[in-house]
Amino acid sequence: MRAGSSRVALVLAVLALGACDRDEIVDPDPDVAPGPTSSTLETLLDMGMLSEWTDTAFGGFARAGFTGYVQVVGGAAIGTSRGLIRFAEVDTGGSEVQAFDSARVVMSVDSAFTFLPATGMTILQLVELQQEWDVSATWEFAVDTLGVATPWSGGPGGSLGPTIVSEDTLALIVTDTTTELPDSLVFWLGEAADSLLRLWADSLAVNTGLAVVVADSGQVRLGGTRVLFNTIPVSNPDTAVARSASSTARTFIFDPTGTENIEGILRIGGVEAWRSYVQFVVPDSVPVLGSSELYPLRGSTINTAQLLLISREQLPAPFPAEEPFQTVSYELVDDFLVFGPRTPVGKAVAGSSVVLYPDSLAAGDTLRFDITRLLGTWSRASPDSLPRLRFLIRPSSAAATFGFWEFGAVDGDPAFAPVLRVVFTPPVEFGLP
Amino acid sequence: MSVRHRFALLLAVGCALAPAQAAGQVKLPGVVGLGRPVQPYDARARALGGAAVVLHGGNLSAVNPASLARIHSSGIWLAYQPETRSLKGDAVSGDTETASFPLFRMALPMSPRWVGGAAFGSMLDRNWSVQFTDTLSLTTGDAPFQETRTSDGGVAQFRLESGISVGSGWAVGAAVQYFFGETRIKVTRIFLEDPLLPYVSQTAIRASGWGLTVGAEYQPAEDFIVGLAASWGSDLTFRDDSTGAETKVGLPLGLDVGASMLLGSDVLFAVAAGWENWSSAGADLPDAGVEDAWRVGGGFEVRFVSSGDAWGTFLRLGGSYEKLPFQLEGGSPWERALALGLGADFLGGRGRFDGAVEFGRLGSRDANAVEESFTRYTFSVAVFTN
Repeated sequence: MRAGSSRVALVLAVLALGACDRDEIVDPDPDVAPGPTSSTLETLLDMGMLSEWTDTAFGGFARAGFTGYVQVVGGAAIGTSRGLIRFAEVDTGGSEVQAFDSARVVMSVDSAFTFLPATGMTILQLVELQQEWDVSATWEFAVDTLGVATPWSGGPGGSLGPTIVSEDTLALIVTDTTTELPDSLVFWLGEAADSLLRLWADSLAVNTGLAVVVADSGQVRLGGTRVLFNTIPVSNPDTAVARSASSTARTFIFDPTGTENIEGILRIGGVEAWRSYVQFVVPDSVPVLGSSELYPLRGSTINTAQLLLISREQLPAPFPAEEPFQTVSYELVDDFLVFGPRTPVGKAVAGSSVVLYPDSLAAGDTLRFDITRLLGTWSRASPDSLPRLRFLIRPSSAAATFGFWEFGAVDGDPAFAPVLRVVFTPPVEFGLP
Repeated sequence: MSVRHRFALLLAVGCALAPAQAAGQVKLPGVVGLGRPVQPYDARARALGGAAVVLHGGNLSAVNPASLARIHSSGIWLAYQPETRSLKGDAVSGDTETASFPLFRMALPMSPRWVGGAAFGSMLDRNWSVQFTDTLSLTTGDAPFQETRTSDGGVAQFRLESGISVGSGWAVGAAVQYFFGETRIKVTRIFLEDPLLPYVSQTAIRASGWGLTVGAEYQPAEDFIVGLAASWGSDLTFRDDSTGAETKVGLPLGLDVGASMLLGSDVLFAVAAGWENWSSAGADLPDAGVEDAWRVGGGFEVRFVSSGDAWGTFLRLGGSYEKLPFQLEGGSPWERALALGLGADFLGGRGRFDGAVEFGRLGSRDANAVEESFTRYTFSVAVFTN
């Protein structure tokens, strides 16, 4: 044969070997379908079925100053929180000011998170503060940054000075058809305006700012804060120039009484950005529902794996999360029992994002955190590696809500202890003919 | 097709990790045993009911190596075989399509009496696929899923062969065969609603072995040829790539006999019968159930348009009856088929195109709980140097 024929022969030989095509789909009763069979199994592992389980909660990853709002609360049943505001950049237009007048602090009101008592009104006050603070302030400390912790000199919550505006009432606007809150709250500074604004305009003076407090009862969430005022120049005392300045520092501090003890509890969310840390060792073989026989989990395909956190009773106001927020899981690089809240955090666990809906979580209800990818990696790994799974659950946005949510931990009430749910398919044993 | 069965699978029933064909599973042609035997025939032999041992006018099927001795010029040829099947059974039904190249062969005359050759040919077709829907009961509710089980591949043969005319109408031949192939088996389970990750598991099973075929033809007169071929194989070794597990299946002793008669100048009649001692492999395939394979077939060929000996066109009619070796319910199934074929020379007789269509049935609903009707097309083309 010629060389061309040989090449054709080679191509055809390859075709003959490998070009068998198949489009065979038959549709048997699943019970008798031919071929290698597989079984997908489900297991619910409580902590007692695992050789190791540790969990805890850490907070303090965010501060109220990082939020975009100021929450002011007062009243016996709903706790206490105070707004802290400072104006430190008051522009006078470069001319010498004879006097400041008509000054008022204007704060926008977030009606969605403002709750007035049954009377339909809440009285707020502007009060002088006695001590310098910054946006890291908490109920205990005026300054609480890495390496610097300055307690409030007057005790937790700080010492309040003289009242600047004795009262300003936030009240519902009632019309024939609607009942609504005003968009903003206005504190007229009155006679204190001139001295306060001179102080705020002096960059060298000690400026402790103002506190916003609830004088009676209610919860008010405040947004943007500005001071509006008129300046009367020395050069032209007959003319008042309208000016304004935004607050240069703004936060709020709240009394955490009733939430200090986190023993037996996992927390997620809140102003302090609570995170729940979990680490456990999964056995290579597990019992499945309806059977005491052990089935291999390691080496199996993990169809889904979920950490089931059981909701605790709702906290007293104002601490329960006030709106839904998204959570996400991250792998932990090291042991949180050693490194605590500073434990290095790895990558996000793919597909682990869950929205926590406070309104639909009663005590005993379950919130499922997907850790399929994490357990899948464990299942595919060598038995000598990845002996312990470590991850944390945190809100996807720090301090997205004022309140947080609590779940049972392993060292708490067993009725609320976490559970691991896994749906898995062990590998098929392909038989030889 | 497309009748979807839904079946509530009890949670955590025993993890029935089974071999390829577990007890309780429906037995389907091509799935049981080693697969579906495929003969390395060309379209002309197919149209003549599988008469592939001896044929006047050039026997191109890779059955009897002695037939090479009657090929007097270099050539290559190829067969292509698409097939549609309709399966009906108590527990399964469906329509399928498949296609393969059962034969590629070449001949190279070394001398006026000695012809060498090589061929690739099919041996066992292990292509099949089943798909069904089912429902898994979980604590979170029902989780419907679709499962697909596929087997792709088979066992082919490569043969080096030679035929020699030894005089007085006799020709003898021998072929050394290397059997080889890979079957990829895969199970895929996709959950349709629940956000469960799919399950995929697969492996590859390789096969290898050796075989020897010897054959002879005797032509006592111009219009009559008779022949036989005997084949024997070593163990066919199957090895699972993922586990390293290995098993051996003894290849059967095979015997084929056939005859070809010219009934006048334009009519040919050919018959063939074959037997393969597959039951000897029964001990190697304890779960399959194996019986000896038998086949018999024959047919007529009529040349109806021609130009002397230079070229011609042919009409063929044949029938075959064949017992497959691997048992379904109730025993091994019989395949019966009627064949029609056309053939034509081209390139002044240096090329030949043949086509065949077989209408047949495999198994019996009553005896085997499943019956397959099929339409098998075979096309082959051959080109010679002169």
